[in-house]
Amino acid sequence: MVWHIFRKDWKLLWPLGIASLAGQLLLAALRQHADPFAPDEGLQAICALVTLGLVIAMVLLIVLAVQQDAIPGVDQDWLVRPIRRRDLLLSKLLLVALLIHGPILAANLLRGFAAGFPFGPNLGAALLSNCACALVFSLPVMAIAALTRSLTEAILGTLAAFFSLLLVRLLVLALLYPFTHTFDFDHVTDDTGVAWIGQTLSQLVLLLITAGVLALQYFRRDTRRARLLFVGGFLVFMFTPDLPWRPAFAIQQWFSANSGTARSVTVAFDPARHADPAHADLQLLTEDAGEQKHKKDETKNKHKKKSADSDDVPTILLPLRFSGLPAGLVLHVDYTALRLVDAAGNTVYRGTGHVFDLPYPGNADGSALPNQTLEIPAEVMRQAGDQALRLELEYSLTLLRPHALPPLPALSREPHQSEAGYCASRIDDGGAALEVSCRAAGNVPPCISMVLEQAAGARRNPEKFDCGLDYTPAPLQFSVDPFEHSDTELPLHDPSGAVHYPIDKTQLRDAQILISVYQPEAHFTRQLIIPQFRLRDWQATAHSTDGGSDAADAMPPAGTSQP
Amino acid sequence: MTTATVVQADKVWKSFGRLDALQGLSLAVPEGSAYALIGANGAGKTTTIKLLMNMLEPTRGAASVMGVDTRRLSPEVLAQIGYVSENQALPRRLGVGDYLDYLRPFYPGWDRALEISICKRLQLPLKRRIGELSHGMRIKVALACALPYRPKLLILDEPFSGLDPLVREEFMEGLLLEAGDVTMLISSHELGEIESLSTHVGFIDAGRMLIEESMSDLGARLREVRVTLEHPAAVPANLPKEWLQPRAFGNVFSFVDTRYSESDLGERIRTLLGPVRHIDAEPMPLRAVFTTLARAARDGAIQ
Repeated sequence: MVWHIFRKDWKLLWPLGIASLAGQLLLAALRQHADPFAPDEGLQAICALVTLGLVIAMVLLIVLAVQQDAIPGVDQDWLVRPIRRRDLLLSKLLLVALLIHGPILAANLLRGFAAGFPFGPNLGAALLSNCACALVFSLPVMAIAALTRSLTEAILGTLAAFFSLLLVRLLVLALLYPFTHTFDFDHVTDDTGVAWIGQTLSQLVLLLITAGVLALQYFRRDTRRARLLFVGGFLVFMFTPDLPWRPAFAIQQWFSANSGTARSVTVAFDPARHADPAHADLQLLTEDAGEQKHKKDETKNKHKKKSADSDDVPTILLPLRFSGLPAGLVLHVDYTALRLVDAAGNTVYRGTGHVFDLPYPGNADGSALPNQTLEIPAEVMRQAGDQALRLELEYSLTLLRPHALPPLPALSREPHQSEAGYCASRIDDGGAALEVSCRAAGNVPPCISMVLEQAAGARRNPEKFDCGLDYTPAPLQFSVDPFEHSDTELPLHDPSGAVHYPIDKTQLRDAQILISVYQPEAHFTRQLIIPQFRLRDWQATAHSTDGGSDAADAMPPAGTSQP
Repeated sequence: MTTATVVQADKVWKSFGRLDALQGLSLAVPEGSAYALIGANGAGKTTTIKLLMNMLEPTRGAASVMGVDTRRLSPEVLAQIGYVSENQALPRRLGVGDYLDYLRPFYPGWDRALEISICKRLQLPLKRRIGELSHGMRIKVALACALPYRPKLLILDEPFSGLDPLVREEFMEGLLLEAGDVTMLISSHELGEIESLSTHVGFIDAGRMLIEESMSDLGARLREVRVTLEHPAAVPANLPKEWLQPRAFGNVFSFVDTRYSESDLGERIRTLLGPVRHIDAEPMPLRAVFTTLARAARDGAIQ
């Protein structure tokens, strides 16, 4: 009877289904038409409008489909008919699958074929994106529709629930303010490689909520309990990404591909070496402040940058020595937890340090000498700056293994395929950089480095490290949009004029782009404890910290990164 | 020989928040009977019916329909039950014909010829959307959707609301006969319409079943008694509790006897009221039974 019930609903709702298909195809055509190098604001506005219209139509379609046979209430005719609840639920799911996800799948497949992606990856990406769409959109909307009797009730109920949950969130933030000193909605794992853990958990919670609500409604018709589950579940959903760092990274460690690689890595305080402010934080990356960064990198040190924007944030530069770095791997600092303890054993301050990356230094003992930047609140510095404190640093670290991809011609408007997707390049309008744009069916590698190299002479410009680390295991890598793209700018000259880059725009015809992608090899932690530490002794001047804290993106030529 | 019970409720409670709509209600509808469920507004008739149809779940107690717990009514059982209610929410956006087309495959015993006959008799506009119809027409649609599969049990909750007298009459006389051998549970304030049909009656007040018996037994024991005395009448202080609605006017004393017995009525009256000139005991129509019981329940005379 599933098909029979479906046909009844189809008779009523087919115009919305056709509108949904037309909208999806139109959106796919508009997106396909967009030039990756020159975003057209008008086109983007039209896409946004079509998307909004589509979302409204899809919500309308789902709610109307479910409420053709509404669950709450005691007067509906279907309740006294010999209709199996399972059949009713399956018919609604079928309708949503065919009228919502069918058009999305069709549009994405067409878009993928038009972009030249092969059938397999294209279908895989389109199906995965459909799953994501069902998880975050269709199923929750179905659950809301199953909890309500009319579209108005659904909209008002959702708004009421949303604002109530928002209020709860604000109340919790206000209650925790004395401890957190922030009114920020962000989570500690945001914009880190382990963000996926909180996100996956919250998606799992969302799936459980929607499955629970639909089961309660269709098989028990228990609207009161189902509504409680919905609101309670969303409370859990809202707070799930607030997973503290330690448990999140502990989970991440289970996913280490080869944890033995990290066994030799140690970190030590190197007081004999005075910190060099020019190399604060970043050994891998040199300053290139004018460049666009990978969007995830933009917020990498955001909580630190916020405080760095104010003039009077004292900064500590801590000279470190990392030893035993495995050959050829990059060490990424995911998180640095800082704790200062006074002589009486009281915690003076808890905070975080800047994150940074270390390439394999290339010397015999595999040691590298970075400086750790720590920003200490002025009040803490004033009160405890001259005390002998115990400094505790807990590093969450990841070793990344680079994997070289076949080189691409430096100048090519026609896309070339690689593991990074279809990549095309052009010189930017100012002639200052080579823009490389890659599109992939599915996810583009989260961590990628590019370098311009002369095909003959093997001379290279500085390497660009474009890394928005994401350690999501492959089976869980899905997003609503099946096609991802990344943009990278390879500078053709040093903006400061201090260094001469061997490849400028006149030599691009004979140059190629070497691409490496990075995969996590091992996740591990290291602790560094300095029993006697006087903050004032290691405080950097305002001038000295200018260069270090905001450095990003461009990798120096090999062998030049050591201080 | 005992008659099988098609519908049974055993001390059922249904609460909505603090309101106890049903307070230990028990009920038994024998197979083949036409059971009239009567009671004042808010007595719990509709709640009882919705509970029997598993539209509501009992808070306490249990009920069964065709031997199955109402909370576990399967599609197979529902396929044998016809239900019509004045509150029935039919799919408004579907056409009448489309809805009949939709329902047909769910009922193995659907009689297409009977459907056509019913639709013709009720003059249903098959092409029109249900939402565009008047209340009365929607009730007709509900009737047309409840009868063609010849249900074994027909549950009607105020089915005559909004129906014109012709349709009511046709419904009672014709349509139900066409539906075949059916047990019927009917709740209605149109007592005149259901009186001729009913074989059993249940009177609900405040969520409790106060009286439940066959119409013949009820008719036999309930009589409106009019006594003409030799002297001016007065309501005696020690009135028997089975005498309801006592009234005195001139030499006439009247009451409703709920334990009527022709053999000893005269003796009881003479003992209580003195010399009697004339006694007249008349059977009561269902409407009068209802009003008498409703008043008595309101005044606490019966519990």
